[in-house]
Amino acid sequence: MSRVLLADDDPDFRRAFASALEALGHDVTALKDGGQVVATVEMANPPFDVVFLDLMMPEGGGATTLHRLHGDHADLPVVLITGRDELYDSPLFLGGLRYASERLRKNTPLKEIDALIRRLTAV
Amino acid sequence: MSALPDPAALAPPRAPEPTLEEETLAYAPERLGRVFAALALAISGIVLVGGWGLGIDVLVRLSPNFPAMVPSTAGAIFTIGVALLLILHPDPPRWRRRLSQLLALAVLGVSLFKLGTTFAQMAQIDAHTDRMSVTSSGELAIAALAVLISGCPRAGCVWVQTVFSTFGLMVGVIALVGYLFDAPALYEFFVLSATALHTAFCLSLLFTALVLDRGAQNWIAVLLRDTPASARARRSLPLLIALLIFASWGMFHMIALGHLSAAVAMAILAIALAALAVVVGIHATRTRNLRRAQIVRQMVLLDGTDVAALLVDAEGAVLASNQSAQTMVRDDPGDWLKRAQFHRLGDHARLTGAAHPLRRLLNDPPTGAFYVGWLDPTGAERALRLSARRLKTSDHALAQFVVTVVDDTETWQLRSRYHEVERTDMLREMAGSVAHEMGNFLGAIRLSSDSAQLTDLPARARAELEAIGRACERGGLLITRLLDLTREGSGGDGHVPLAPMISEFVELARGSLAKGVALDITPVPKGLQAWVDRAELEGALLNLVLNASHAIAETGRTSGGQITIRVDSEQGAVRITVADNGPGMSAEVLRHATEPFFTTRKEVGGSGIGLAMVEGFARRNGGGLVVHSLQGVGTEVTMTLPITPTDRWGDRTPDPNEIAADAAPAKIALAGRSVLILSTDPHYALLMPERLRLTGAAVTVAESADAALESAKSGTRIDLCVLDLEGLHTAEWLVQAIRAAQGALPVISLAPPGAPPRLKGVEAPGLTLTKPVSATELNNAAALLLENRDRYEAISEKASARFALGKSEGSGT
Repeated sequence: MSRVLLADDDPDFRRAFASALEALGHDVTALKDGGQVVATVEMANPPFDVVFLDLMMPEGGGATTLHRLHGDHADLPVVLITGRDELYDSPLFLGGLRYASERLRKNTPLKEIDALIRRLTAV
Repeated sequence: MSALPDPAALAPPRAPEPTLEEETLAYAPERLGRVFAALALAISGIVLVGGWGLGIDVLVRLSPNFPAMVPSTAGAIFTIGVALLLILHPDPPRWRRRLSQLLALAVLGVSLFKLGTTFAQMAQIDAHTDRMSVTSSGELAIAALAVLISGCPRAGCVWVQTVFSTFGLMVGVIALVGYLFDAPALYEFFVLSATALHTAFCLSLLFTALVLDRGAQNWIAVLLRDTPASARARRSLPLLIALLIFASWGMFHMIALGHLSAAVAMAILAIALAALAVVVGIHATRTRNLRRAQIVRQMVLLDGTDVAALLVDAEGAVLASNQSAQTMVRDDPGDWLKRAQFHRLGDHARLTGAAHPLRRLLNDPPTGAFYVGWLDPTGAERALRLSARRLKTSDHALAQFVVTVVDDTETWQLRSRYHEVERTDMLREMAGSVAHEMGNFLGAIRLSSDSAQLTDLPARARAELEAIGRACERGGLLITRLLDLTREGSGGDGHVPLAPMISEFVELARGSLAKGVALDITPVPKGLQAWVDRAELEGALLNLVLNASHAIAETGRTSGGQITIRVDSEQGAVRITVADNGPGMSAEVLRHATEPFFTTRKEVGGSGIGLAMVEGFARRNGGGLVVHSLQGVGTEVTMTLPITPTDRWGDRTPDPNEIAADAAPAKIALAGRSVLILSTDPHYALLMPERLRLTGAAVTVAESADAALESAKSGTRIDLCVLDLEGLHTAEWLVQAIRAAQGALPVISLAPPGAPPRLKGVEAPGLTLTKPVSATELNNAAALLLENRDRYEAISEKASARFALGKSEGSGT
């Protein structure tokens, strides 16, 4: 079971994501914007296994946060998620992928999310 | 969309308003008129009070041998004087006019009564008795009538009043001249008998005032105009009068002495008058010719322009026109402006009455340029841009306007089409943001339903949760499809297997065809693919097929229409051909076929962007478009598309990093630059900073105008300001304030789609982009502005360095 950090500004999605992953046995911490991500990662004990970042949110979206995280936490797997289908193939999303491990649509079945977490934390 | 004001809002013509000419007179005629009326009033008042009231006889008849000004005459003159003083103003209030009319009516009654009794008792009257003379009563009646019609604005009234008052003035002057030469002889002439000297004088004064009342519109105006000719006329008038009086006196004297017979004197007088008439006539003709020559000179200049220009007088009559005007009207422009039928663009409402363009053009002050619709001699609708400018002529005899007519049909159509395209963009934007919200909450629903299934549930609840999951799946697909349709194609998106794609497409397109049109495909080579965006290819094909279907339908036939799609490959490219047996195109139409906004189906709603869009799609993907057409046989449009993405990415699958680099060519331009973004639209406020940060820019986001200004004033240098105009009402003020704080700051304004162009242009150097703005577009604009700024900064630095150098050299010598 993994320790998962989620940053997403949509409260409904945050709640659904946390309760779904917790039901699968993961330990989820959810933040409402990108501002606190780096501090939360650094203070976490035990450390997070995987971070999910929404592509767009106040105080620094996924791409910005990802760049901030990358410096000191290059090994930490980060998944960029988006509810905006039109951005899934956009240069912004693909560009953000330079440091991210995976990209994900929000409308992804729980099974697949679980499989992804297992794959990323197996190493 | 249209710049036309509501015709109902146009001011109705105000006839009694002073005409243009009145305002240009050197003197105010009615002010002079008041002086004359007041003088007559004073004289008659003195006669009434001093003469008749106090019994001072010299006031009543001036000389013992002269007839008296009787109280009724003095009273009537006094009353008309008062009536004139009431109305001799530029714009007298209603009550003044009413009162003056009442007074005039009273005088009319009294004088007509006196005239009647005089004629009834003519036989018994001794010419030497004191009474109201025939001249006095007749003149007073005419003066009263002139006062009554004084307020009437009609040209007829002006004419009648001028004739009445001029006639009255002449009679008064004749009586005065009679006194001058032979006062006792006046008693011999019954009509003039018993007319007192000061009565004749007062009547002359009153009629002069009445002539001056219409001074702006009659011969007085000629005398009073602010022109050298009128000044000459004014100067020579007293001389002329004196000369005439002297000549008459001389003649009378010669006749009295017997040196000259009356007949010869009359002949001399007639010849002198005829000579005077000839001189005046020659002079008038010369002036007219001079003006004509001036007009011709002006028109020669205007012949050199593409703009149709008409020289028009204040009545709308065309005095001259240039060649472009003649070409446009295809006839003599003559009174074209007056007679042509103009309509409002858009709803085709006829412009008549106050809304007629002529009324608006010759308004003073001018109303500015405006658009009207006009059907040219071939019946085609033209959009004309009309404007008028009043000529500054030294001679104000005729106000002249140069009316320019620009045939702006093309621009007008282009603008209408542009708005259609913008509407489409707006819909696309809306669909995009709706789809985004859908994606967010479908994600929440999906995860909730999935996690609920993890718990121990009855089979039925589990089945229902699974149904929710499936619905989310379908919803997600629908959103993807919707976004595919609305997305601006970037080209080269992936392999599209053509055989299944085209057969699916044909099924879809058949429903949209005109009646009696069949759509078929020749077998597609197995495994043939194109490297394009599927939705875009579908859109392009649909465009071609619908074009063909419309063309066939326009021939009017209801059966036998045939559209065929052929697919084959040649030299590493796919060729998709859409052929029809429609009417075909003429060589001329074919030449313009792929120009944007060119359409032969304007009347039935064709936008003219179909073929141009298809060509753009093919070219963007490294292919092309060829149109073959034979009139009466049909049209064949062939699209060439790449099979593999060799033209863009070589043989490799594109690496995401490379795509990002490719999509952001302005990366270098923005790296290390500081960008201030002001946006109240959450969609942009979140997305744009992300986009820009990816290019290496330091981004500050302001959510209000005040916050933006504060950042600008904080002293940190800002290289670029991006303003989202949506929801920002003080854009212009803000830009000025920011530039005041930051020097020549380049500004990119983002305007909402569909905003009128006027709102888009913020008064600041910079570029305005219409939302939605792609990352490439934004970055390109930023690069352009920054490069421009850097160049000018370098120039000004060099200039100031040179200046400093020059100064030090200067101080050295």
